[in-house]
Amino acid sequence: MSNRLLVTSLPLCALAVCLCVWMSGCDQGIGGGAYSDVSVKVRSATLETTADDGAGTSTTTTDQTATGSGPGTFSGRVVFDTGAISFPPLIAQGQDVKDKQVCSAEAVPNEKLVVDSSGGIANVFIFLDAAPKGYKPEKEELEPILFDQKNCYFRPHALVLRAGQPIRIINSDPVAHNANIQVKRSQGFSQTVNSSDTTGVVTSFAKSEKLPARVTCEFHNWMEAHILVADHPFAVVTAADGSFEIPNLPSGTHTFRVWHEAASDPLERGLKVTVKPGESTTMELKYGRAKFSKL
Amino acid sequence: MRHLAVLLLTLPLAGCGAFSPPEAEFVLRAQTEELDSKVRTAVAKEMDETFGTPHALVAWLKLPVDYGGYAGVTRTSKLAGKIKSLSVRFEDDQLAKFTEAFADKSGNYSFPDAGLQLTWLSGPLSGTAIPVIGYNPEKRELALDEAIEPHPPADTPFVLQAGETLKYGRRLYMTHCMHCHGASGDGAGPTAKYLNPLPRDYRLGQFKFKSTRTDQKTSREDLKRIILNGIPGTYMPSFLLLKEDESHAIVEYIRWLGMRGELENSVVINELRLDFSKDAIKQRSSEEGSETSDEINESVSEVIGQLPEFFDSYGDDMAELWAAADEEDSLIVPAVARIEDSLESRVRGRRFFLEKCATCHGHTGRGDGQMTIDFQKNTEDPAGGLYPIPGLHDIWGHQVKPRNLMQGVFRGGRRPIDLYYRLYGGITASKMPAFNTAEPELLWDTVNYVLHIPYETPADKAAYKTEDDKYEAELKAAPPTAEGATPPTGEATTTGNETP
Repeated sequence: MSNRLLVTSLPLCALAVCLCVWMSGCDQGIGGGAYSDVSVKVRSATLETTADDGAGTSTTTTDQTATGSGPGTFSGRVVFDTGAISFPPLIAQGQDVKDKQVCSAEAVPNEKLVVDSSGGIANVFIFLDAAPKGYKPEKEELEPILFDQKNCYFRPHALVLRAGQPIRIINSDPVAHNANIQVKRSQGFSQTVNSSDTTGVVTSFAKSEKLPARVTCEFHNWMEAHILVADHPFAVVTAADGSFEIPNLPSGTHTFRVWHEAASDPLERGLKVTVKPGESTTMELKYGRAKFSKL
Repeated sequence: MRHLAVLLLTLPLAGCGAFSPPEAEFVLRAQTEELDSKVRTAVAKEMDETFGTPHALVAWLKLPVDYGGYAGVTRTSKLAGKIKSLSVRFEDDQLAKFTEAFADKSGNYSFPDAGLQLTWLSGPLSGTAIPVIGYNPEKRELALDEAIEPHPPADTPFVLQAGETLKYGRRLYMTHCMHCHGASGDGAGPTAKYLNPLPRDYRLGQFKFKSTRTDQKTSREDLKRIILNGIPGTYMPSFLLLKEDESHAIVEYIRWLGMRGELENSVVINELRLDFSKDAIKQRSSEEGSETSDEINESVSEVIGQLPEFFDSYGDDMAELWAAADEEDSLIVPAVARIEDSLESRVRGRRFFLEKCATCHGHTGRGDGQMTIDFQKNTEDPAGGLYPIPGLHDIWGHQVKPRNLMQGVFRGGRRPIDLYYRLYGGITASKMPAFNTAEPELLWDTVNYVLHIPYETPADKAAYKTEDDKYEAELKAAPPTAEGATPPTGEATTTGNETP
């Protein structure tokens, strides 16, 4: 063996030996310590609460204390500060899109921000984060809400659903649609609704959501809507003129969230509203273009 | 000589010392890291208490995970004084497992030298463990190493060798799975960055290939099948050589990691992110938010105080969903037996495919539909922007390619029933919707068509062309309108003559 060969092969051998040692390795090495000592502690299934923590469950609503007696109303209007604004349709009549014989037979309106001639903003969600303290839901039979897919857009564009309330998703179009309702607290819903199926699919969501869930259609990617699932009736969507009314609120101070899909943050995280028995608290909520950063 | 010296010097360093990688740890989700530092620390602490660390696991009994061990209850109570034996009762299945593990042929039980650990599951001693050194099957008594006083009341539940399966699962996971899926199950192990598609990140508690209905989670059977068979067309290999108890332990550990990440995610995105992310706190304290620092601090301490409750209630919801996935009625069972494969069946299936599937999978099934070139909206982007690359994106935010069906490679399995599961249940985590409103016969027709795509003959193509012509003629006679419903279909003008 020539001396040169020995010189070049020795470091290689050394390296190989090192690698072998390293890879055969100790417990803490390869395999994330697969064989290292592991202990398992058992944790009880129920929450261990100390005695003074007992009332903890109602802390979410401490500022929504119902004082006085009898319910009141919170009403008002959400307006755009520069008045009326309109956007060209999302899809113009006759535009060349998927399923154009149905989808662009009529123009598809741009519902990202809907402001009427008087400046009222429609489709704004106004809701309580959680049911007010002491609120007991009446045992009412909740009527199914109809959610349609017609001319390749969702109708309505924004809606409030109560937890457990059935929602009937139908398809008035002669093309296939699906509704992908991206709720966060229940397993998501994504089912196709057959073309022209006006019986549709009925579903419901058992858990209330913290924010409106986005709804999309995988067949037509411009289609979008929002659904808020609430476990109390104090959640509304503003009407076409931006007006809203939330009746039967226990008197006291409530903290409302105001949310719109075109704003990346809630329009209001915590809008304090004081409701007096038998009276109506009225507010005009005004927002400018800068708030709607998603436009 | 010099080289030899280098070699000798390197050897001692090579093993456990200088080159050993950092200790395995459970990392927090990016969304958790974005929280206000106090809230983040509190979440990290709660996560540690609920799930532990890779070296000190916590078996939270709320979760539907088989942590292993042998569960039983005490039989008698009110024994006075110190006692060194416990009368106990095991359920039949537990006793059988226990006997198999520790009894010899003549029915004598022998334990390892250190004895077995008995962990109390309720009562004042809940969570504490004592060593057990023997079992007398006639008297049904466990022999204790040290006397205890007082005797726990009758029907106090305990488990011997608690967490054995979890520990075993961890060891196997760290050996076989960790290098791709990561110690936390975040799909970001050391090898992950070289792989496409990326390894699954378990921490949303969602898996793609399941046999359960669209609104259900993944069953144990589904996970086991994926582990044993692998996922064709990806880097997930088949682990067919795993023994029954090994695959069971890995499945339980993966489910546990999934639940761990899912619970963290649920609490953070539902309860904390909106008001307690760093950005939100900044905004709240700005002139626009107009909250004083006292008010903010108060709300921060309040929400930190609520964390155990959040973990508890979200844990309940999650446990219910995971447990339901293994119930029999969560399984997809086709309402009719498979329709025999035939040209007629495939022609019907192809029509369904063109109407429902072609948007993503393309008119010839090459996975090149319109949706793969459109830019999609990024739901996680606060500014509401589009994803930087075109195409569909899954819930993990990665681009997802509709399968090229020409290749005949199906990730969730290539049995006809596997394709039926995909059609009927959809793939919730990616964008594939569930077609559970379609007629089951039609779904089988579609299965037949899809399975046959790679093997199309000129005769098939001619038959498809004939059907297209007939279909278009009918369409011309009565075109669909936005108002009318005849004939019930879209796609009309584009079918047949799209791609060659």
